[in-house]
Amino acid sequence: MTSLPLPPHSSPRPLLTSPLPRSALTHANGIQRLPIHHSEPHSMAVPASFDQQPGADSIDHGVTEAPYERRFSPYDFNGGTTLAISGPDFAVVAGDTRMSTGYEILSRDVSKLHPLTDHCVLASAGCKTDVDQLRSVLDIRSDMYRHNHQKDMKVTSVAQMLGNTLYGRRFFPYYSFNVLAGVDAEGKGAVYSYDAIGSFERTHFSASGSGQSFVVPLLDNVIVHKNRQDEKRELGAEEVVEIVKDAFVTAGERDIYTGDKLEIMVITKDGIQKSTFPLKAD
Amino acid sequence: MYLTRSEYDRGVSTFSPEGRLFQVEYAIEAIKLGSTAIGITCPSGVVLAVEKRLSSKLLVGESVEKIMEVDSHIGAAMSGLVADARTLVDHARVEAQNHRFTYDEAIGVEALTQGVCDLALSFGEGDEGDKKKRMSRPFGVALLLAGWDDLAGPQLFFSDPSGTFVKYKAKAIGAGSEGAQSNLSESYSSTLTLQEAEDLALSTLKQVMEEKINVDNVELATVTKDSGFKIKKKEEVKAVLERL
Repeated sequence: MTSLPLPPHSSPRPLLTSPLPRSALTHANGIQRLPIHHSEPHSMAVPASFDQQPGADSIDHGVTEAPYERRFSPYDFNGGTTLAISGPDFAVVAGDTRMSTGYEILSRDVSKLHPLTDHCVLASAGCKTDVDQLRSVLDIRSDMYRHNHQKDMKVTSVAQMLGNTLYGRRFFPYYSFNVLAGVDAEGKGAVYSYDAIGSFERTHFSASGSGQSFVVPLLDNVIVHKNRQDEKRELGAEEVVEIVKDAFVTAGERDIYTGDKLEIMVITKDGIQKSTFPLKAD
Repeated sequence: MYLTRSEYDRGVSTFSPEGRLFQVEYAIEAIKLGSTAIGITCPSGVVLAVEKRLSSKLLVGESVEKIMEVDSHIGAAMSGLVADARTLVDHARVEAQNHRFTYDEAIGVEALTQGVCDLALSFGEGDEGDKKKRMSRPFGVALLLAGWDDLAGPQLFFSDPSGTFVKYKAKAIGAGSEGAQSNLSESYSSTLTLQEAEDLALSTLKQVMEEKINVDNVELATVTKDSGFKIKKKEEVKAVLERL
């Protein structure tokens, strides 16, 4: 936990750090209480401190003039890893199905993959409620597109639309890390990588979410052949699927938010093929 | 239609007891006063041709613009109140660019036409006091929207002041439209080449124009898959006229 600097006028006193001092765990009436996990430093949250004046209520509800601050924490990180790799005439996209918060697993079977058209799948990790909302918005917008233009959206169009949709929330973003995969109008595999506020780029492969840092170096080597002397070989969809499985086993070994089950979708011009692969549930 | 004319022909938002909107019908009449415009589709593209009425020798012909570019793959020819068409074409251009911004692709011709008609239909809308937003009357102009997209290839749409649009293989609007349309019906074939379509457009115009046709009093444009929308230069128009 990081401690914020004290304002210059206040006298220096030790900041509360986790674990809380004993006095904070014992209420004024003597009842033991459990520490509450905050995402903000305690020192900033409630200047009316626990170890000042035993017996005083820690929050004065604005009765005194002592300033205090409440914080709005609208985001949660529900973990999980997504990955997409493009090929000459296919794209492979995958995500684990674990959903967590903190040290708790909320579900072992929540999909991170969301098909938007017959040739395009969105994989998202982040805050589940934001991801759900984003998916609904994109579904509606792609349905409206189909009504207005009598055709399915191309992957390139979905990519642009997703970028705009995310940027539309520039100052209260969807907490979602997206990877878009599909086959484009020419039948080539397409993978797009996004940040939370809509900056995007078409890439050869992309990974995002909690296990990103474990997966990316592996794929840099195996898929992109970075820093390798041997000749690069064109990989088929089946080979790529095996690499994806390895990548997720690797991430699941080190990342507590990745595990339970892997969902894989192989997208070609003929449609989407789904498969699953068990991961460790620990 | 004038027999049933009454106080019902005043408001744009009031139906007559027979179920008619007179202001809209009058707006459609306004088009019949406009200069003739013709659109012809063929497998390789669409041709637009319009007559320019140059009322004075001192008038600079190039300043009369009756075919306008909407996007690189769509053009519009107009007949009626040209000033109204500017508003519609402006709107169409915004729709087209908006689509590019949102979807990173060119807008479909039908979707663009629908967008234009949405605006054409919004007469009588807007707040009572709000002068800026209030649209007091229907647009007095008809458009021929020609374009090419991957969904349906070369296409020609006709939109009128009522906000209706229809797809045509060949269509004439304006003062000479009756004669021109019957000529198109006789001579049209679905296997025309682009050059034959250009010839048919200008020869049809030639027949219905009051003045003698020349490079200064007609405008000609084409839309093709590869070159998109192009307004023909005077030399190119001259070449077509010499073939007639």
